[in-house]
Amino acid sequence: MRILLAEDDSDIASYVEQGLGELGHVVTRVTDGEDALHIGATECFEAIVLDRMLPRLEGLDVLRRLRAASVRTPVLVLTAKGGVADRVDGLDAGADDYLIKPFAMAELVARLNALARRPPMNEVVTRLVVGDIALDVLRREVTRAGRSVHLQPREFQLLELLMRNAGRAVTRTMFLEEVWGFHFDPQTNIVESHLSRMRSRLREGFAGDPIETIRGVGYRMRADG
Amino acid sequence: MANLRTSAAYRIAFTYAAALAAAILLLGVAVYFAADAEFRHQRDERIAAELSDLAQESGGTAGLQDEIAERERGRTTEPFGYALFDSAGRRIAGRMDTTRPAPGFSMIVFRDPVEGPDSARAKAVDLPSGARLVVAVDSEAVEAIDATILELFGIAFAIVLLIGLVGALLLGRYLRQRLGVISRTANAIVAGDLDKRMPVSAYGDEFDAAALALNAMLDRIAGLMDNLRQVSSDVAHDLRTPLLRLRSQLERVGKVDGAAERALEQGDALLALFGSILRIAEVEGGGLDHSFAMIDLSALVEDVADSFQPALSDSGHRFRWEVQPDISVRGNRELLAQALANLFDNARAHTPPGTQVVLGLSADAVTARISVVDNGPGVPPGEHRAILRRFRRGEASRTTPGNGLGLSLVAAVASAHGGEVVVSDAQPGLTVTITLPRLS
Repeated sequence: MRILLAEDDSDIASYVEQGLGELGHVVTRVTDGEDALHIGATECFEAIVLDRMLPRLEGLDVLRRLRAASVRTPVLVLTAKGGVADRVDGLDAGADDYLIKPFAMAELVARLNALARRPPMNEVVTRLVVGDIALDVLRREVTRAGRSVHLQPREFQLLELLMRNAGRAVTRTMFLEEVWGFHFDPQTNIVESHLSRMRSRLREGFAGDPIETIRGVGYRMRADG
Repeated sequence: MANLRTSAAYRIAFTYAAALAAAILLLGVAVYFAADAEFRHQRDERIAAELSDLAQESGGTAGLQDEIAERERGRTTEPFGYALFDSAGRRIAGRMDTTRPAPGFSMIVFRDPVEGPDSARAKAVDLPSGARLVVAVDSEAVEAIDATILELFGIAFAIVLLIGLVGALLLGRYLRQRLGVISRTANAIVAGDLDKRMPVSAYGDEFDAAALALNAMLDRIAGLMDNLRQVSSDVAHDLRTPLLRLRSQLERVGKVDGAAERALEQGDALLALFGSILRIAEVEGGGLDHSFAMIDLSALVEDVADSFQPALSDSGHRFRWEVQPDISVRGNRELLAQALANLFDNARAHTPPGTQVVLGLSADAVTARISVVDNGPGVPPGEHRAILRRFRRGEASRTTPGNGLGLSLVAAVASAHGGEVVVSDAQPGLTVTITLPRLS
């Protein structure tokens, strides 16, 4: 995956560049807003990681101008500001996701993967199939090997998110944001408790668990189900 | 008096007095001219009536001469002057010593036997006999009335001017006094007397309203300064322990198995701690009102309860909720959800398995009330208020995980929404109640 990284702090930039490089991504690194705008608008990337506080041109201005220039590349905004209003500003400017510094590498990678593989806006997926599990988004129905599996609404949303990202890790905070709309991490692991119920319902009468826990990162649905 | 020009209070008072005086002056002038015109008009009508009455007199010139003589003798109420001129212009009747005026109304001059030449209003008419009959009234009467009116208004104007001037001085002084108190207090606060507040009088007037508003502002500023001081001291003191723990873990890296992982965990815990401190500071700092919207509190409470139900059940707690439907409040959904989540975190972390946790949402016309009640070990009554403060943990919970910020955030969120948090004894157990104002 070709990724544009706009970050002026050299420590964080090296950390991200190295982490993404190890996973085989090609990272182009710029250190100020004008370069980010210029390169982001002229070259082709699958994702842009944009720091909010950039010299010469602020991150959100870069983002607004890229969007005004019809650059649709998914943008993940990095920021040290975790305030309630800050996130809204970022999303208003056209960010696809928002990550507050400091962050774990695994979190950034999981979010970038989810962003880059997200289907285009006009393509609405109404039926997801991974291995022997099928999920009908409109009818809210799940079947495994043709057998109906009854899930609670939250469990259904958890499974949908995992299936949309099949083969890739989904972190706890991604679940909290997407399924619950919470941008905070409660001390109680509510994701874990809902997920384990969903997993046991999926496993009922079957030998294999299609979902695996990745320690310290999150959960992943095996691409082959 | 040098400050008269720079004082808004005096400027307003004097402008007002001057406007009042000008209005009186305008009224006086108008009344003077209107009255004068009316008097002259009435006088002319009386002259015309007398003249036409006299002209009707039969008996020719001789009869008229007799009648004139008769009226000059008898009439004293209407001081008419009469004169009859023959066609040659000689006065042949009437005592009024004047020359023959032109027919119609005119001002004439006659010789008064006592005062000498005097002016009068006259009307003359030519009779069929060729003689010219003149009836006149001395101008003095109207002039006297005019003078009286002028005099009265002059006095009234002087009095108004005087009252206005004195009133303006008094009003100006009063305004300066009331405002001066506020400025002096403000200056004292600027000079460092931060606890000083604007005095509020018993009148409850606009000045008191302004003073109360200023005092509310000063209290808010003082609160923010306290908040800032508190955050700084929290960071200085309460973060030392976790930092020391992180340091000791780092020292063991390479020597003890799993030390690196534990150090990472310590780091994450520290970051979470910073996140909590900043979030509380943000909420306490205010200015979140623009993110407030009408939210369905019943749905939100139910949603969060539903989210925590499996986890509470996994930890062996018996959890149920009684939520009154369709309760709406103005607020920030995320913050209220986080406050509720913190209450569940606490109930789960600080009570043993088997404890019953009951969530309730109810409301009356003005207040929505969220309560989380458990029948666990509770908190000694003496600590009820203290556990709402930052980094305060109940003595019994020193060993359980947590950073002592959960309830502080709940309190901050409630206060940001204009509500409050009350911790009370559930006998046995603990009740935490969040009250939020409802919109009418």
